[in-house]
Amino acid sequence: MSQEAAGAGEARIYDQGYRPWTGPRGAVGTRFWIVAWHELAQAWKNKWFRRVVWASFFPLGVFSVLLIVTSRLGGVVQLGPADTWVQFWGVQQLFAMLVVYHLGRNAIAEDLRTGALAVYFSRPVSFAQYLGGKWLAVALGVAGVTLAPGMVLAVFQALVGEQTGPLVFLRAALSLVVLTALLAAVEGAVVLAISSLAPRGRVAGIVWVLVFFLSAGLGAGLAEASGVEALGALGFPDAHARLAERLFGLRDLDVAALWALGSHGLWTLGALGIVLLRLRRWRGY
Amino acid sequence: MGSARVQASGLCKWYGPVVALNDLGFAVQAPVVGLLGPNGAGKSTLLKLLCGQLRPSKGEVRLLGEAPWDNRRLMARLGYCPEHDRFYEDMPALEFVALLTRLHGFDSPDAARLARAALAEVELEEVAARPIRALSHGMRQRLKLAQALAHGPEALVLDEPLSGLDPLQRARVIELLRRLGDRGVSVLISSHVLHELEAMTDHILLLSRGRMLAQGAVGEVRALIDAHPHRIALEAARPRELGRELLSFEDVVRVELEGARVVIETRSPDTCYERIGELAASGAFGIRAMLSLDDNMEAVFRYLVQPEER
Repeated sequence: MSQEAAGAGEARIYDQGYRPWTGPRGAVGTRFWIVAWHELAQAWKNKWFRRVVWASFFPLGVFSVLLIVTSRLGGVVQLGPADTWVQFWGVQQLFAMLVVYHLGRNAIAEDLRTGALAVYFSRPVSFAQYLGGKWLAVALGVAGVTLAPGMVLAVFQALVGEQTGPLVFLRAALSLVVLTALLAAVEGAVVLAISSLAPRGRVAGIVWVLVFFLSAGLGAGLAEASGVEALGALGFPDAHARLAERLFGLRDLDVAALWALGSHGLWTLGALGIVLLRLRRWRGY
Repeated sequence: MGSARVQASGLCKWYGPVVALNDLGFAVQAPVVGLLGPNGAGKSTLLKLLCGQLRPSKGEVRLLGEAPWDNRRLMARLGYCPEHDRFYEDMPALEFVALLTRLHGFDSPDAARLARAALAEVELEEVAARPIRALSHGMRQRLKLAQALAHGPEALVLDEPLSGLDPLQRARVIELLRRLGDRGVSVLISSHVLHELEAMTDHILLLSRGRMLAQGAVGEVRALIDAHPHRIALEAARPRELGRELLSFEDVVRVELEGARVVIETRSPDTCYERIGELAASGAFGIRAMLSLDDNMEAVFRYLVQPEER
């Protein structure tokens, strides 16, 4: 019904009912951003998640002081800036583990439990976009607690450290980006796999924390039992630490770093395989 | 396969050793189609196949002329309302519908506007800001409908959308779905409550234990059931005499007296209607009214699905 003006005394009631949309629509390729944004927005409503994010910036103060000390008094404390960076990374990866817990535990488990998965896939959304969005949310969360404070520290180092300048910043920044990407890839994939198998998000969260710490114990135990130190890289904390030591220049790239990369690759591929099998099963293959 | 809105050919779906659908074949052009059957008949499986949630184990299914499996172009034209109503409990209703509308490719302002319009359509605009956990079962049902409607689909696949609605809401949703059908939207709706479907369409697909029992208009379906007697009720001034007369018809297999009403069962309804017409015209028994008791889904369902109870 047209909306032309009615004359005096010609009151009309217009049909305000349902009308199919005939306007433009966005590109299909952007769907994973929407999925990721939704995950982040939901997690941000949780006060504990917000507290983890804010708390991840607190170590900055301590490490800024340490960085000055190790830069200017290296001969006295027998530690260099690289040690500070490795220790900083060791602390931040614990915050990352907590962020992964908050963002990953509900990601697929709750979609499966509530049936939201059926609603997602009744949209023009592919498996890849769905999983990509879920993973991206975890990756952005991890970046928020590792990359963001790390960049602040890198800027601080470039400004007040013993060696200053853009190259110092670039090296630290690049190392942080690589480490964050590796951490997000492996822990994101593993938590999504756990979430896809768990009956509830809460269960997935508990299992994730157990896997994180037990993987460290498993790696250390295997390394000690077999005498092959490299097996320690099966644990997430150990593998992250090894890679951080190499990237921040504390040690040269060696076999141990390759083991750590191999361990990350195995965990990631295995976890992705589990997620895909679980989703394929859901679709009744 | 032709150009029917909804069609299937040799369609089978099994989950391991369990056969959910077995060799289904149909083609429907009607705008509103009712999918009818008891629990476990395979209705939800068929709907999931139609909206690409599941892949057929064998055979073919088409909606709006396209195979739904992994067909994102078709998904953009489709609205799906699942049976369950548990979603993101902490999310406000408007945000929920807007999120799902954004996944159809709308930017944030358009998605919010369409979501508001869809919520208004199902009379939920006043609770749009409430979290889903605070909505009643009936409201959740309407919320599901809103998320299926918001992006302006050409086809709606609705799994039990009327369950949990009070009579007034039910009437309004039925009216909305009929209106959508009139506007050219293909509506496929499942239910095991017969009169709900009857209020929306006379075109049904009747499923039981994964097999198609019947399809078509209720009257047509009924006509196909030659093996089962057709029930006709007559109101007459002299029912006892009328009943005695009707018993003499060779195709009448049973006569019941219910006060002023005579209910007969016949295996040849056309012939019987013709003779009753002659009797009424003669005025011999004071026949005032005649009613086919089997022109409703309840009767068809009873005959086809629960023969052992008769």
